[in-house]
Formats: sequence, C-alpha cells, structure tokens
Amino acid sequence: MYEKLAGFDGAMIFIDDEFIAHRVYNMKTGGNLTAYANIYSRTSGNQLHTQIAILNSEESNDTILNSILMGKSLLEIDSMLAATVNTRAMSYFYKEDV
Amino acid sequence: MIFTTTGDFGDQQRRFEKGTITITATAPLFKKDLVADIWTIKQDFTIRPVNNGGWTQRYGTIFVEDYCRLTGPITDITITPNKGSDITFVDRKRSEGTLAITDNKIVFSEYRGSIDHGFGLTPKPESDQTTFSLVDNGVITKQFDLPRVRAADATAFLQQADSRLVVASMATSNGEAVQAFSVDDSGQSILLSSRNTGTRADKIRVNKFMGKYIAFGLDASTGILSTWEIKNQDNDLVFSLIDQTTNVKDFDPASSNTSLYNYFIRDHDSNVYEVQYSPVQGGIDVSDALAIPLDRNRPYWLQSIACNNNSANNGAVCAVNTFGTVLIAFQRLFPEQIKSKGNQLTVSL
Repeated sequence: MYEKLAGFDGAMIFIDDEFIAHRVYNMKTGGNLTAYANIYSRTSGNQLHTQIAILNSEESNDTILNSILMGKSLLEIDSMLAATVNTRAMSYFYKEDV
Repeated sequence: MIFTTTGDFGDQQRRFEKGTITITATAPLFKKDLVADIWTIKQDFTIRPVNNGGWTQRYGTIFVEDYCRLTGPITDITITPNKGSDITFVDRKRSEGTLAITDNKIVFSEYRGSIDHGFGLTPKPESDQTTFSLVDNGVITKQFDLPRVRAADATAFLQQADSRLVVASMATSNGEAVQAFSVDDSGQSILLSSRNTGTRADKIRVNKFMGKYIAFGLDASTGILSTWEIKNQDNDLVFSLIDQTTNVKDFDPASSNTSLYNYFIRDHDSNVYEVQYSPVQGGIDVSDALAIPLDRNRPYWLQSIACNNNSANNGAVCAVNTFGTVLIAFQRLFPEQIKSKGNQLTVSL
C-alpha cells in the first residue's frame, strides 16, 4: 500500500517492478493548477521516493474542482485537460524500452 | 496524522430524536398556536473498543475503525499517545514546495511510446486543434495538426515499413470519435481510416498482438469500454467491434505470449476484473470477466488503474488508485501460469 499525498490526486499511473509513478493535480480549494509526478519506490519500504512539479501554473484550479463537483471522474478530468490545457505530460519508459 | 470516520451507518436512526415545538402567531385581535413534531439530531455519541482491546501491533497506516466503534454525529476525532507509552506518531506526508522548470519550445500534454519511438500531443485551444509530434530516437521528426485530440495511443504497424498505427479520439463534424491513422517514421505517409467508430474515448490503448491490432477505448462519461480489431483492408483502416463492457471506470491491458489481458475497474466496486482475449481461427475469443478482489477485509472503491507486464513476463503488475488515501499494487500471474503454479494474486502491502 502506498500513501497518497493529502489533497493531490489524478488518474494517470505507471508501474513496473521498481517504481510507481502517479501524476496528481492539486485538489485543494483556492489553489493553483499544479501537476506533480509522485514517484514511489516499490523496493524500499513503499515510500514516496520523489515528487517532481511538472506544472506550476498561476491559473486557479477551478476547472478541476468544478469538474469534480459535476461528478466527472479523474479519467475524464485527465482527458479534458489533455485536450484543452497543457498540463505537461508525464511519461515513463519501462525497462524494456530503454 | 489524520483520522476520520463515518460512524456506523446501521445506527443512523439512533442519531435522531423526536420533539415538539409550538409556533405562535399573533395579530391585534387573535393569537393562534400550532404544535408541530420535529426531529433533531442527537448530540450524544458512543465510542467503545472493538475486539476487547486485544489489538495486534500495527505499523504504517492505522484505521481508527479497527480499534473503536463510533456511533453518533462525530465531527472530529484525535488520537494521542499516553504519557510514558512507547508510541510515536508521524504526520502524513505533505508537500514541501515545488521545483521550478523552464518551458522548452514544445511541451507535450501527453506522451505515449518510448523515447525511441513515441509521439507527443500539444493542445492548441485557440484553434481547437492538437499538434501531433512524432518522436524518433529522441528527436521530433515530424509535426502536424489534428482536430482536437482527447486521447491517443500507438503501436508499431508492421504492415507498412517503419510506420506506426495511431488510434486517437478526435473532434469530427459530428462530435468526437475514435479514428485510426498510420504514419511512417518520416511522417510522410499517412493513411487515415475512412470511417470512424462513432464512439468517443477518454482513454485509448492499442496493442499489436499475434499479428492483430487490438484497440481499447473507454468513454468515461458513459462507462462504455469498447474493444476493436483494426484491419488494413484495401488500403483503408477498418474498425471491427469485438466486444463492449459497461460501467467501466478505468482499464489497462497487459499481454502474455498467447493472450491479451485487459484489467478494468468499475464504479462503486472493489474488484479488479480480468478479461482474456485469445486469437482463434477467424477471430478473437473473449472470456467472461473474472473478478479479482483486492482486499476482502477492507473493500476500497477504485478510481483508476495502470498495468504492465511484470519483469518475468509471466503476469501483470498493476497499480490501483483508490477513492481513499492509498494506492494498491498487486501482481497477477496470467491464467496459463496460474494453472501450472496454483498461484493467484499478490497484494503488495
């Protein structure tokens, strides 16, 4: 089990035997539209290994919060942002691809 | 450390108590009373230990419901170690700031594939288009604009030399729809499907598998997961629907040498479901969905999933995002391995 950061969530996850990478958005009311790559180690105590800010916008995160209030899922929010707002991609090259 | 509880739903009725009020209306010559029944929320609550205090040692996340049963309108709860006890509580992890980054000339909102062969998407909201960037050996080799793309994925397209098959949910004159096109590494040769699927998607995965091209597309607004086989017929890319599954929240496939497996989750459900796609003479055999419970003792509602082949390539390794505060990882041997080893599921704790 891997503990998520409070107030941050997102649909996009990558996993291999060593790491889990989770792209999350700031879900806190009144915050800015921010996206992070949270990297968990699967081999050293399931701890959060690294957090990387991949987007730190000055825009408010109202778009995300309103979408949640309308009942949209995290996947719908991901695809909506991918089509309309550049929230920066998180990609993960699995070992066999390197 | 934060603990929350919803109390006991079974005792919900006991939270209310009945009372009466008198409403009096007065005018210069009259006065009238109205007596009405009202229900008020009980202000008291109960807390009692479970398991008579015979608790086991616990590290990591502690669930307060494992230690006490709460009934009533509780708004907050705290736990404090007693003086002299050898207990240390550590706060939940929290962000300690951000790292500044510098934008480059092109920034992708989505990237799929490897650094050797991949593509990136960059939205252009001002023109309702998306820039598609073909990446070859870490270099953008070709860029072109497409109608607004919501989701896309690609795989090597062996029917044309050095080309990729891209499946994307794009804007059309009749709304969004999943379409396919192939493009070679130079970006010169583009073959676009003449007919789209008529179905939009928020997530797409396409797999090249035993000579077949299998695409999955999930419309998260309806929860319909569609699976297609894409064929190159008379120099056209043609979608052939294999099956559709309803009430799907998220999915991700993995593949063995002989079968393709799709793992999906449903709304208000704590199981992961596995469906096996096996190429057979003249088509694809689709198994029934097999429910895989993650934790029988503590059912989580699930909201997103990602899977990949494990390093031994004999099963899938998946990460599941719960509606709670945790991610859960598990390994699942492919069924052909289960038959030989009798193993099933390993939940990583």
